[in-house]
Amino acid sequence: MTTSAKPDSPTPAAPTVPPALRIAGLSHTHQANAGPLEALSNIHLDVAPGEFVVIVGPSGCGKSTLLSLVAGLETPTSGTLEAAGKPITGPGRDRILMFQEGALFPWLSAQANVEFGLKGTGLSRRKRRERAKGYLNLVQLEEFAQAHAHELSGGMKQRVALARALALQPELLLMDEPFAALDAQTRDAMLALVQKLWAQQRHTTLFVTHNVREAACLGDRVIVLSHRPGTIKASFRITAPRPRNIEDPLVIEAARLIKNALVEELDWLRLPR
Amino acid sequence: MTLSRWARVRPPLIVLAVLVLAWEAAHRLHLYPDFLFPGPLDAARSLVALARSGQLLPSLTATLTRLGISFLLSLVLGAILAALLVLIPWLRRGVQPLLLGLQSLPGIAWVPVALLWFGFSENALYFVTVIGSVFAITMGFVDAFSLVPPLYAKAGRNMGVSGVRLLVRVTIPAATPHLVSSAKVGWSFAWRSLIGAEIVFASVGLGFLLNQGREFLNVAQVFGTMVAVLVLGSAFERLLFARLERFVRRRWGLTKA
Repeated sequence: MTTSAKPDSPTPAAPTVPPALRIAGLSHTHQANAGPLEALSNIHLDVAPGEFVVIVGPSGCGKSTLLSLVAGLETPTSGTLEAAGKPITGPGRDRILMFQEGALFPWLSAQANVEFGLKGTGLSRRKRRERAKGYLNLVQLEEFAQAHAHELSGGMKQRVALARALALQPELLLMDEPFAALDAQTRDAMLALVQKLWAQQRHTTLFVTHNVREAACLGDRVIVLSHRPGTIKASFRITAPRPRNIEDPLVIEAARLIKNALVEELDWLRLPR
Repeated sequence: MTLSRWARVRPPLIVLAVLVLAWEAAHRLHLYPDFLFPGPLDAARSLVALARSGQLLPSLTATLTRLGISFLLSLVLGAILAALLVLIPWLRRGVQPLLLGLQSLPGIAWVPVALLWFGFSENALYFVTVIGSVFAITMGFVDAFSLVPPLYAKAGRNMGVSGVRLLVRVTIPAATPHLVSSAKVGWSFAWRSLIGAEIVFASVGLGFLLNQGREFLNVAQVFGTMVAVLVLGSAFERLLFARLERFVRRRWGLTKA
């Protein structure tokens, strides 16, 4: 019997092309009020250019911290991080993080939000406007270009946030549970949209979620992190044909395998299997 | 559901009418001698008399000019102080308790110092008004910045914006609703300090008219001027600050449009 999800064996990338992202021996400890808190421990991960990698893990396993570190918003305690062969030393427009809450600026219109990051990239005002319009079209929100964040639904806000991230044409798109706060129908539509855009543009993506179905639906590879401190516990390669739907049998089957790996991490909760 | 304009102004108008009638009734009962407790009509007449004698307009312009200039000065000084406190955490920790104390010190408490330093001058009035409001504005501005959700700065840095650009493009806009509210509070501190100081030592101004009424045993003028102060204060509050606040809150999505 073949399954859509196979335990992943590391395939060394061709030596000429550096991976889009290389994480080696990464550990990170937060200096929390209650004392040091070890969030991540000895993470090794290579992401190939154009690959869609999903990270799943129990809450508090440091998934979001991992994205924050890759985005350069935090500095790791130890280990190395490289984007396209260059060490990551701080935030950069080549790595754009899309937040769970969207983080749209409420004082700006949807259009101005998408244009925000383009200022200072050397594009003329007109070019910036055109680019923003183009990406709003891509997420089917051209009619709402002048709307402010509070006039948009949760799903629309996340589409603007996606357009804002993609408009910068980052080498690496980082998505931190972007659909966790959406209702099921809206989320399914977003999963289709993300797959469509990725098929068109092939931006390397690192996507964090706690939802195994979402992970199986989106990922080329799914990495399972352990409970705190987060370490890589398992890795699956998902071979089901795209575009995938969250209810495809192959997706469901892959999700079950991922869940088995994940549930072991939840043993401390004594969850019924 | 939104109330019509008339429905919104009706309750305060009714209350106002009842109060004025009660005032007139109390006056007509002659519980106090008439010259000590004039009625609303007497107060209105004395305002008209002040206008006719050419005293009212100069007083109004003097008070409003002092208020406008002092308030702007307070905003600028408050912004500078707040910026320093936000940028230098140890300074903030050291100065904050003192600021809280200074903020609650009534503006009028600065009058003796003002008189000793500046004499009976315009500068003394400006000094009292500015110092009576600047600490409240500083504290409000500092709070406004510390209430900005860190997520916005994160999103800005994430898109390659940092330093002064981050401040101008993200932090200040994000803090704007609270900045506007702080300015409003600061304005009312300035207003109170100025009227208080004018009562003590101005030679023109609404506060001066109040004190002049006392000196000439003209209680109608005192009441009339108090009504003028009250009307002016609430006009600024409602027509300027409330509108500005409402606009900002709507734009920022803090209240339903």
